[in-house]
Amino acid sequence: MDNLLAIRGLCKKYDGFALYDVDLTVPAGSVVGFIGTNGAGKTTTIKSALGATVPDGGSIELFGQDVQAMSESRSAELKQHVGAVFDACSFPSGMNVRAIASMMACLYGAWDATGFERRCAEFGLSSDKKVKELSRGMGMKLMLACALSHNASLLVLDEATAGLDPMARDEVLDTLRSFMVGECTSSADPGASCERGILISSHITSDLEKIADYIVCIDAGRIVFAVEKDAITETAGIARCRADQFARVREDATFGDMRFMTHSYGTDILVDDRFAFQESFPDITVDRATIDEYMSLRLKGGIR
Amino acid sequence: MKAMVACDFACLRGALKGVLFSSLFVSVVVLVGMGSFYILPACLTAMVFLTLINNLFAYDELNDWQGLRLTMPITRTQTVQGRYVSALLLVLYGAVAGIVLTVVLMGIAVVVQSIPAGSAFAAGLLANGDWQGIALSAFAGIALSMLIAAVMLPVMLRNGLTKGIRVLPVMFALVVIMLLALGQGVMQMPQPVGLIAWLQTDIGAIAAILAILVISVVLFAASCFIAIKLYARREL
Repeated sequence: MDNLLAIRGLCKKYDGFALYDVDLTVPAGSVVGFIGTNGAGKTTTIKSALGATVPDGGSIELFGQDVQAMSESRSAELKQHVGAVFDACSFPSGMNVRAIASMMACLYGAWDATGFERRCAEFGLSSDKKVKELSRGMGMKLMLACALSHNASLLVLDEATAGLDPMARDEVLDTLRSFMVGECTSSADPGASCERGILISSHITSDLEKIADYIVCIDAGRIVFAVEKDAITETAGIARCRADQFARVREDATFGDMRFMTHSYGTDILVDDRFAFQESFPDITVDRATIDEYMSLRLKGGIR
Repeated sequence: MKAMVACDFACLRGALKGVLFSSLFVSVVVLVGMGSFYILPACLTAMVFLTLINNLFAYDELNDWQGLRLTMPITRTQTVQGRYVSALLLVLYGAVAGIVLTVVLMGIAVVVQSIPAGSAFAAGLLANGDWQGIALSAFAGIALSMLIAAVMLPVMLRNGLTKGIRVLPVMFALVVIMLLALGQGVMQMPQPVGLIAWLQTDIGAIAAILAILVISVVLFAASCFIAIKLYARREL
């Protein structure tokens, strides 16, 4: 099994919004960051992958098996190995942490009560606390503790770090790193070890720079790019040009399609290989690209 | 399905006790207003059921609990079946609560009867409170609640509480119109000799209630089948 999740040609139409042929894969052993502007289609894609919405077209494979072709009960079996964390604590507000643990034990065959208690202790979650008494950050930690305590192979996080302070976000990222190095049991072959994976949608791209292996960007219901993170943060760059430098670069056909954005102080150019660019234009400053800059130039930049 | 029922009752853990206190208050009001114990079990069964089932649908929508639940190992079919089983258990809980509260209030009435100031009123209440009547009332409450559930659950499962609560009065109005039309049709038919008189006997009344219960169960099952189809394509 190469991919834990493989979405191909996903289509979904609502009034005023649609997903068009969305392709998204989460390879085993990798963390995929899913980015895009508000309303771009991230949550709809994730909800389709998790079965909360019914796609109009395309295919969704979970652990190598076609979700739409399988029976409902098989789909539920596969979900034993998926942990989901949404952008708010979705558990019923009147329940306390202990009651949630009891409920999860009814739902998940591999529920790890000891592991859950340990994580709650690490996160400072008291078992008597009700969901409505938890802050946003603590609520997210509760969701995460639940998602991590049933031997999931795939974690799906939709804006899970939104609204958390930097310390809490770092704590969550550490937890996700620990999850990735942990051992799990294969969904297809119980007893065999397998690699884990995470699909994480976020507007906080600095978090993704710390943890993601791949970055997928969606805009207006269409995938704009899907690349290895290192191709953005290590190889790509932003050339900071004055007007004359920009004119010179613009005339050079070596670098193919070029995306740029003009500001009052000059023009930024997105270059796919900052080292090659630097060799050709040694007088132009080229900075490493951040995911934010890369996304902005890909979505809003002009094209030569 | 068991997991869904477990989820539902985990959500309701606090509300199950809370509704008993509001039921006690309503019981006293109904008792003083109606001057009879007979109405209490039926009234409380329906009230407890409606309060708790609405509570469940409210929890579904709060913080998108229903959306998260669909990412868990419960199928959509199991979600609907589980919710119907939960509804049935809530109806039975309401009936038991109704009978227990009625018995408790009857006990209080017996005590009050010995006090000169309240003896006449308590004696009047107790005159309308034999156990057969109480039991029949509870059965009627169960049948009524199941009929309500049969109409309500598909609407709520398809639309959710916020939208469903707007659709529901229209659905109930249609059901009442249908029942009235049916009732008028029955009344215009030639009446079998002695049927009305037989229905007024103890055995006739029990038979009528049992018939209504059977009809309720059949409608409840049919409603569950429809709800499964409706929920299969619901967007959450």
